[in-house]
Amino acid sequence: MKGRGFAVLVAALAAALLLAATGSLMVGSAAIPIRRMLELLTATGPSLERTILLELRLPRIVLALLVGAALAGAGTAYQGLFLNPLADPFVIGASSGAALGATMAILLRASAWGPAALPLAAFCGSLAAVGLVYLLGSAAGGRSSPLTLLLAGAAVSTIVGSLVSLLMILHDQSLSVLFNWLLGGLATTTWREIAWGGPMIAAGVLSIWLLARPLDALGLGDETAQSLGLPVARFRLAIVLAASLTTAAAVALAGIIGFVGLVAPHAARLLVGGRNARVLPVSCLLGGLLLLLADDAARSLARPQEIPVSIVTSLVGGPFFLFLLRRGSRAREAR
Amino acid sequence: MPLLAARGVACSYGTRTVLQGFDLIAEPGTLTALLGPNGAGKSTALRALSRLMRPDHGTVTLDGRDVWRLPRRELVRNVSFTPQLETAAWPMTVEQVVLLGRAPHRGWLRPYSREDREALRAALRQVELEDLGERDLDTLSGGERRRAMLARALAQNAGILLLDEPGAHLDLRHQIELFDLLRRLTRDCEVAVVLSLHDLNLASLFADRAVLLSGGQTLAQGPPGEVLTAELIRQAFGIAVETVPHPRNGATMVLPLPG
Amino acid sequence: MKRISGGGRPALLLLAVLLVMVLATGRADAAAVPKRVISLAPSLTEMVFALGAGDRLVGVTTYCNYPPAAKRVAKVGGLADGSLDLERVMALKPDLVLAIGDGQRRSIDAFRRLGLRVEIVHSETFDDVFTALTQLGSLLGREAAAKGLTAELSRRVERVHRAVAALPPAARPRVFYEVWDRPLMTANRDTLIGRLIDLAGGVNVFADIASHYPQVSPEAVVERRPELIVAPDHHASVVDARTLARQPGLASLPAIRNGRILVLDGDLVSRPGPRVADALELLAHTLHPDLIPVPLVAGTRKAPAP
Repeated sequence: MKGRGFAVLVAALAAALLLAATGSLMVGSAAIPIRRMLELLTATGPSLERTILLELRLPRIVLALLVGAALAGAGTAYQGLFLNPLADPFVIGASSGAALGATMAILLRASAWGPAALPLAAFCGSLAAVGLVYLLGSAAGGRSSPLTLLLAGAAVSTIVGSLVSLLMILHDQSLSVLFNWLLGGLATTTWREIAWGGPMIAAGVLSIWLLARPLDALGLGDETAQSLGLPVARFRLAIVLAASLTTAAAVALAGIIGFVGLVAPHAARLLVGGRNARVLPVSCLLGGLLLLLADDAARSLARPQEIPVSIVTSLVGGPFFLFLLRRGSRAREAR
Repeated sequence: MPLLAARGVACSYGTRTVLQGFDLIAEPGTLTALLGPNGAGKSTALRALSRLMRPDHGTVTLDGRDVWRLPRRELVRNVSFTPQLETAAWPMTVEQVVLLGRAPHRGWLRPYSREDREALRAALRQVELEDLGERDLDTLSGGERRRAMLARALAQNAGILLLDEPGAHLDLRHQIELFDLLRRLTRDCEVAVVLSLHDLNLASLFADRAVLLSGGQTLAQGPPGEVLTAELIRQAFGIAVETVPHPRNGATMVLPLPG
Repeated sequence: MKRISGGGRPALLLLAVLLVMVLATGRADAAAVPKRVISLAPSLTEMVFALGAGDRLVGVTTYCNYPPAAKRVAKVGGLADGSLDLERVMALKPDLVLAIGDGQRRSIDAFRRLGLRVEIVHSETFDDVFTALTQLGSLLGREAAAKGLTAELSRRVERVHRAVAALPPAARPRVFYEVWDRPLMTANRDTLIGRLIDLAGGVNVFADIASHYPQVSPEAVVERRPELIVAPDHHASVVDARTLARQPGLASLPAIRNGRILVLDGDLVSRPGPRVADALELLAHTLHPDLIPVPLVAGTRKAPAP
C-alpha cells in the first residue's frame, strides 16, 4: 500500500471514529436529538441533559476509544513479540493478575480508602503478574525466548486464576461484586480516572509505535534481528514493559475486555500489510472504533439493564474473527 | 576495509564440541568458502564470526579488537550475516525487508532517509529485483527470496559478508548468478565474503580460499586447488573421488566415483 | 377588655413563638420529605411500599417484583454496578436514591458526583430489616408507620421465639435448604435463610460451613440426615419429591421418602425485607405445626394506607 493510500485510510478511519463518537453521544435512555445536543454543547449553565451528555456519555465514549486503542496496541505488540497471531494483551498474565489485585482490594474493603483503590490494585496486580512471568521466562531459558514467556504466561495465568476462583468461593458474599468488575464496564468512569489512565495509555502506545521497526526485524527471526544489530533480549523487555503498562492501565479502568486486542491487529494487517509502523496506528483506530460500537450495543440492547461490554465484544468478535480468517486465507491462496 | 579474523575458536552446544581450533582471516577482496559434510561446523563457524554464538575458546576480532567488546552498532555496520533459512511471520514486502538492512546505519527509530532509499534501489538493482520491490515476500520463488536477503546484506553496506549456504535450493543458473555477483563485489568493492556451501565445484570456480572442515576440525585451508584433493575429500566426506582440471580455466573439478 | 396581666404576656409570647416554630418546622418537614424516590434493591422497594410510601417510587430495579404495584414502576436496571442505567436514573430526577451499598459503590459515587442524594440502607441480615425500616421511616417522613411496622414484625417474631425457644436440640428438626440443584448448593448460618431456620426452631444441617452458599455433595447431605427439605421455587427444574429423588444419592433420604418437602417463594427467604416474618412463620409452622398454628399466607400482607 503506497504512502498516499495509507494516509487516506488513516484519515478515513479517523473520520469514521469521529462520526461514531458523535453518534454514540446520542445513544442512551434520555433521548437527546442532535440539534438539542449541539445546543447543549455550546450552551452554558447547568441542565440535566447537559450533565448527562458531559458527565455520563462523553467520558464513557472517550474511555471506550482509549481502552480500545490500548488493547489493540498491546495486542499488536504481543503478536509481533511472540510471532503468534493468537496472542492478545492478556497472554502473559495481565488479566489474571488484575483479577487477583481487584479481588484482594474487594475482600480487604479497600474501597474505604477511596474510589481509586480498586483500579490501582488491579493495575499493580496486572504488572506484578507480568513481571513474574517475565522473571520466570528469563530464568528458565536464560534468554526470554517467546516460547518460554508464553509457557510461563500460561502457567502463571492458570495458577493466579485458580487463586482468584478460590478466594471468590471462600468469600462468596463478594462474588457478584467481583464478577461484575471482571466482566468489564465503561459506565461509571470519571474524568479524573481518564486523566490518570489516558496519558499512561498514550505513552504506552507511543512507545510501542517507536519500537515498530524492531518488531518488524523480530518477525524475520532472532538471528536476522541480531545480525542487524538489535539487542533482542533488551528489546523484548522494552516491548513487554510498554505493552503491559498499556494493558494494565486499560484493565484498571475498564475491567477485562476480550477480543478487541486479538481482532484489531488482524484486521489492520489485512488492510495495510505487515509493517508494524503502519499496523499499529490502524490497529489502535480500529480497536477504539470496535469497542465504542460494542459499548453502544451493550447499553442499548437490553435497556434498562446494561450488558457487560466484554460479552458483546466476544459475541461480535468471535464471528468477526472467523470472517477475518477466511478473508486472510483466501488472500493467501490467491497468491 | 576492516579485517575480520578468527583465532583458535572452539564452540560447543552443551557438552558437544562442534568446532575446534578454527582459524580464519577474511581478507578484503577475497571470497572464502567453508566446505565440509553436514555437521562439520560450517554454520557454527559463521555464527561465531558474526557474533551470534559465543566461543568457548579463542577470539574473533575486527581490526584486532575483540568483537564481543565492540559496540553492537559498530559491528553490524561492518559485518553482515545472512542465514540460510528465513521466514517472515507477517506479510512483508521486499522493500521493507531490504530496508531493514539500513538499520545498522539509520538506527531503529529514525525514519529512512534518501540515502537509505538509494541504497535500497542500488541493492535491488544488483540482485535484479527492482520490479519486485512492492511484492510480498511470500509470493516470491525461493530463488527470488534468496536474492532479496542478499539485497538486504548489500544494503547494509558492510565490508564483510557472511552467508550461510546462500546457494541452497537455487537452480543452477541462479547459483551461478549469485556467485558471480559475490565475486564481482570482492573484485570491485574490496568486500570480504565468507560463505558455506556444499557444491565443491562451485567453490573451486568462485572462491579464492577454501577451508575444509570435518568433525569440527580444519583439515586444510588454502587455495581451492590445494584443498580439494582426492585424499582430503576422502577424509572429510568418506567418498572416493577423482579430480580433473576444468577444460577452460584449469580449476580443480571434483568428480565422484560411483560404485 | 381586661388587659392581660404582666405575667401572662411572656407566656402568650412564648406560646406564639412555639406555635410559629411548630408551624415552621411542620412546613420544613413537608419540604424535606423526598417525593421522588428511586430504590436500587428489591428489599428496599418492599420496605418502602410497606411503609406506605410506595407511590413516591419513580424508579426500581428489574428484580423488584413485590408488591405487584412495584412491577408498574419504571425500571432503572439491575442490582449491581455495570447493570444500572445511570442516565435513566438521572432522567427520572429523583430527590432520593436508596442503595444497599455493596456492589453499587461506583454507581453511588457517580450519582453523588452528579449531585443526587444517595442514602445507603444496609439490608443484608435479618436484624438489618428492623434498622432499615427505622432508617427508611425517618428518611421518608414515615416514622410512625415504621414504628408500627417494626413493632408488629417484632411481635410476630417474638411469638415464634416464645414457642420454640425452650425446645431441646433433639426436638429441633434437621433442615436442608437447597439453594440450587445443579450444582448442589446450600446456605450456611450467616445467610438470611440460615438465620430463619434457626429462629423457626430448626437446625440447618450445613450451618457450620464457611462459605455463605457452598457447593456440597449429595453424600454430605445424606450423611447429615435432614428431616425436612426446603427449596425455593425458582430452580433449574420443578422441585417436588420426584425430581428431588432423581438427584443422585438423595433418593434414600427419609425426608424425600416421607414427602417432607417445603417449596416456597425464593424471594421470601433471600430478601431481608418486611416479609421476613411471613417466611419465619411459614417455616416455623412447617417445622412445628402443633406449636405454631396456621401461618399467614405469604404475599397477602397489605400495605398500610399512606
